[in-house]
Amino acid sequence: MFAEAQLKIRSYGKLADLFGAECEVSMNAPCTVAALRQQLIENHPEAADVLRDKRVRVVLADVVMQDQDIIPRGEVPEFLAPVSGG
Amino acid sequence: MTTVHARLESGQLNEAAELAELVRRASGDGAIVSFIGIARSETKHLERVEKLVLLHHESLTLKSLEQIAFDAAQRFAVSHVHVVHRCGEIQPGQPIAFAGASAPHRRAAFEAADYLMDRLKTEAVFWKREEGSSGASWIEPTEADYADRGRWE
Repeated sequence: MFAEAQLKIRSYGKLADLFGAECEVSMNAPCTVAALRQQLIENHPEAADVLRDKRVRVVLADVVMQDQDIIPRGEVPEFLAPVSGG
Repeated sequence: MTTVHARLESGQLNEAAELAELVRRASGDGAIVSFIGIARSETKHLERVEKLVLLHHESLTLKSLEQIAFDAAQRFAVSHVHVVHRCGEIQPGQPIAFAGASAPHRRAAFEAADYLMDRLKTEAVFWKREEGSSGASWIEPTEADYADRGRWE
C-alpha cells in the first residue's frame, strides 16, 4: 500500500548546509533509496551533483543502504556527505 | 593478547598522556610508533584558519574508529592499537588525532600506524570544516588520500 507521506531525513556535513540537519520530503511511502534521492534532486536541483556523488551514503539505523533498498514508513534515513578524519 | 583502544574525545586531546598510556600497555614489546595529527594554521590557499570544526555522528563515528582500530589489530603483528580522535572545535596547532601501535618488532608498528591514518583520513565518520577570515569550507579527502588508502587493498 503506497500513500503520499512526509518522510523525515537527517543530513550531515555539506548536505546539512543544503537541506538542513533535518527536513521532510513528500514521498510515496514506503519508497526506495533511489526514489528518495531522485525526489531530493528534483526538490533541490542545485544539490544534484552532491547527491549523485558515490561517496554519499544513506544509512538507516547505522546500516548503509543500497539504492534498491526500501525505506520503511516512519523510519528516518540519514544522508552522510563524504567523510574525512585525521 | 592484542588490545584495542579507540575513543572519541570532545575535550582536549593530551597526546603525551595517550602515548604514556600506550607505553604502559606495551610492556614487553620492542617497538612503539605513534602519529599525532595537528590542526593546520593555513588553508591550502594559504589563508589563515581560525578554527577547525569536526562534526560527528552520535553512533557511527565511534563505530568507525573502533572498526579501523580493530582492523589494524587484525592485520598486523601488533600487541596494542591506540586511537583517539577529537570532535568539536579545534584551534590551529591543537592535536586532532592520535594513532599508535606497539609490537614486538618495529615494522608492524610502523605499518599499523600508517594504515590507521590512511583509513582515518578517508573512512572515519567526521565532517571537517575550516573556518577563517574568508568564510567556511568543507574539507574532504584528496585524491592522494584515497590513493594512500588504496595501497592497503
